[in-house]
Amino acid sequence: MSIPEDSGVESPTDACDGLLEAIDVHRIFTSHHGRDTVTALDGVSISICAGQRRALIGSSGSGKSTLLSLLLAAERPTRGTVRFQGEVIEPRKASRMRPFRRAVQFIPQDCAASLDPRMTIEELVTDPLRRLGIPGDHRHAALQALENVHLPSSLLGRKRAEISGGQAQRVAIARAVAIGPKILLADEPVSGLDLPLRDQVLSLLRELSLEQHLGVLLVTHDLDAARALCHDAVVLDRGQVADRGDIRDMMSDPQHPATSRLVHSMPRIPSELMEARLAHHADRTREGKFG
Amino acid sequence: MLQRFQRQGWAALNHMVIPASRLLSVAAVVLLVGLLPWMSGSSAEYTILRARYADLPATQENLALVSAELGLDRGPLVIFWDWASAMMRGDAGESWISGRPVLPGVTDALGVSLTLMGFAIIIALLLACALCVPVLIAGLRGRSARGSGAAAAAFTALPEFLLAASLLVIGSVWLGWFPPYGWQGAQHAVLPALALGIPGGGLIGRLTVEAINQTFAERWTVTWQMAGASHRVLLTAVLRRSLPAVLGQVGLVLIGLTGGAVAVEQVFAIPGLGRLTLGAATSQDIPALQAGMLALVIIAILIGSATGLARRALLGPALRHDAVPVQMPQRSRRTRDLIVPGLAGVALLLLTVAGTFRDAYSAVNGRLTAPSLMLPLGSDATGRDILARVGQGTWTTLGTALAVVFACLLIGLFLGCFPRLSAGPAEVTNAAPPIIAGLLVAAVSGPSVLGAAVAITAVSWAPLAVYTAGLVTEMSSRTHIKMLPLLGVGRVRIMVHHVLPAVIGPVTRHAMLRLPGIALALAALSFLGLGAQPPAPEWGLVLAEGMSYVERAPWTVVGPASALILASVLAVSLSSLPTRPKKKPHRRASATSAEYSQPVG
Ligand SMILES: Nc1ncnc2c1ncn2[C@@H]1O[C@H](COP(=O)(O)OP(=O)(O)OP(=O)(O)O)[C@@H](O)[C@H]1O
Ligand SMILES: [Mg+2]
Repeated sequence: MSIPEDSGVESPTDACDGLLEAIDVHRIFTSHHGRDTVTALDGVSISICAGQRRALIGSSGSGKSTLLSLLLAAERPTRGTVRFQGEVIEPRKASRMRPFRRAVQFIPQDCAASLDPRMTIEELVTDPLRRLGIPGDHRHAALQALENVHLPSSLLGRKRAEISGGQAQRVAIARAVAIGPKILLADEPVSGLDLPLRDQVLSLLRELSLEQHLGVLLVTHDLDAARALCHDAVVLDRGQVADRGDIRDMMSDPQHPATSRLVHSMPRIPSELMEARLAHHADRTREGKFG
Repeated sequence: MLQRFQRQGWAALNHMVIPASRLLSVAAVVLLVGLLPWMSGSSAEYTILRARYADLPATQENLALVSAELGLDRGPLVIFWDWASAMMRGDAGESWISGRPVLPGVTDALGVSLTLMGFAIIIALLLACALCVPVLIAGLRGRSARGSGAAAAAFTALPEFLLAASLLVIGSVWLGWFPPYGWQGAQHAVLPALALGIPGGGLIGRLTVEAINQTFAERWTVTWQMAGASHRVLLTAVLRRSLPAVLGQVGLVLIGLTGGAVAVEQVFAIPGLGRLTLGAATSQDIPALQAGMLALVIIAILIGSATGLARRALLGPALRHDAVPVQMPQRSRRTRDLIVPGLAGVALLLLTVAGTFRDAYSAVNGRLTAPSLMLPLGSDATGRDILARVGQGTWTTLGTALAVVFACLLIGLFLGCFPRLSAGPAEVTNAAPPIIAGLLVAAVSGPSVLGAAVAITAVSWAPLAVYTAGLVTEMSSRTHIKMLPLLGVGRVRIMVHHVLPAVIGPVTRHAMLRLPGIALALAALSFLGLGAQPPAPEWGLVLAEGMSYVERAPWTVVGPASALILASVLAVSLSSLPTRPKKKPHRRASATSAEYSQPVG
């Protein structure tokens, strides 16, 4: 299922469906007067396919969010290209971006804040479907998406202020999933959540990936979360890819200093225990105990 | 590398947008002045025909004759070019009315006006200092001063034309201390300088007091005091911190003197630039108006640059690094803050209700009848009921003001969405005194309520655009808005469906707070004969009608003046009202208005 890569520059695999890739991208921020520059990304290549679950890890400021915004074509790379299924993707008018937006979706870090407080949950989930010109019964699609994230349909009429933080998190996931993307980019979807909730969201993402053949790129600095969800990982350090490979190997025997810094700086939960917990949560969410 | 260079080039270009839009706006003003003859067109022909050849009928041929004589048939480009090149040679043309060269009169008047403004600035600065000193002393002693009293605030809140009228009545007519009219000696300058200086000084003082109080509320002042910093050191530091925030406003206030001078010179019959320009505008003597206007614009630019330099000197390198201290944070609103505007509003309401159902137009009473039970505010020179005229004046004045506020709101909301492009026009129109704008419009189209409303709108939208821009920027940086493009929502739709609906509420509230101030500006234009025309019951017009009878029948002035004073108190107390309501225990993240609100100046 996973496609481990260890070469420096990845070559597009023909077998890979819905390939999103960044090729040698650089992102340099220029200050107002053009005096100071910050090199947030310095020649990074990364790819993600449908059905694949890959983690993008790195310490704070290593360029993870910047890379995501390039992959989402929210900004243009200073140098390098982003391709989706072989075509170069650049920020353009919303109407021309529709096919890409339908295929590649995003879960922001601050899910609750990403929901417009004036809109009901139903509007929040169905409006993107209208905007992206997705055919079909939107209300039905919204109900389906809520069911996918184990939320009751009674939530549809409520607004952001009237649901809990964990529910908001899942609404944001439902909104992205309802669009039916091939690839989901998630920017720290579990940071700041308490442990049960974190596990719940992770198992949800895994479930979706397995059931809907969804590609997930999980941005995190939490190695446990990465291991719970993903097969392999790319480690970013100061704007460069420091390490990539199987996440379990990486954690048991970190090769690169940046990786070992990450590995050693965090309290670790033994992997068997983590697996068990996730399985437990998957069962409970399916039984609907977290609605 | 090339790509990177292009990017930096773009960044630099982006940085040029604001100065360029500033320069363009000044150029637009000059162009406007140069094109005045062309724009005034047929309206001017008619006026000049009546002024020069009173015996000729206003036929098509005669009007064409005047048009050819004035050179109005040359087309806009030629007119502008001829005017600009003659100006370069120091030739300001000849008066359309008298036929004599314009320039000598303008230079004389300029001298008079500059002297008057000089005195006024001295008074303004003295007053501002007087307002600040108690606050500084209290601050150094570690107490927070209550600022100046409400009465002082109300006194300094009067607009120039109203203060000038009041001072004339009190100082010359009742007390007889100073001559009422003319410009012959120092005693002639006292009342005008006071009338021109006090409103500006009061405003500068209030703003500075606010800034100083804010600075003393900052923690470091306490730390410094604990560390035993001497009073002098602390004082310098506090002033250095407070003044830059105020200096921009001070520049605007000083530029506003050019507009105030028109009103004050008119009231005291001073042969200055303002009165000359006003006369030229009302008689549509365009060459004189052009020269006078240009002189006023140059004064304004000089004042603006001078305060800009002062600000730079005070702030030093901080300005270059965009590290300018943010706008003063606002304290939250208390019930006490609502007392003064509440009282003024109720009094105004009573006056309006009492006057609304009376007859404001018929001369059924005796001329200049003293107030009595039947005629609570007396009657005017034609025997009309003053209470009725003042009461109905509320509707005329506030009604027009409401329309202006609405227009400003629309313009502000629209232009606020393009903050950088509109920065220059916003700056220039914001600095333009309403009276000067009124002069320009009246010269082009003749005096009318509509013209006055257009003029006030043209100079009043800027703060709303700035406020909108601030809110739009803040809204656009919210996560849920930044998310929208990724969900397929286009830029226009984001603006119209997501950003503006969230912004419209606070901006409308902000606009309504400006209603009394805008009403006063309209009244000022009517007072000068640039707005509402007789026999309309309009506050400024009613006051102007009473001015000639002030000695024999002071009530002709007292009625309209009290309505205007109430409106001024309302304007100032509302504008200094913190827009943020008292903090609620549970603050929701969606409260947008608070962070970007600034004092309504
Ligand atoms: N708009 C910007 N202007 C200038 N510098 C920026 C901008 N955005 C990001 N940076 C810089 O780019 C670098 C990478 O930032 P980025 O947000 O991608 O980090 P991150 O890996 O997501 O960190 P975190 O885990 O804290 O979210 C940082 O040094 C940051 O300061
Ligand atoms: Mg980040």
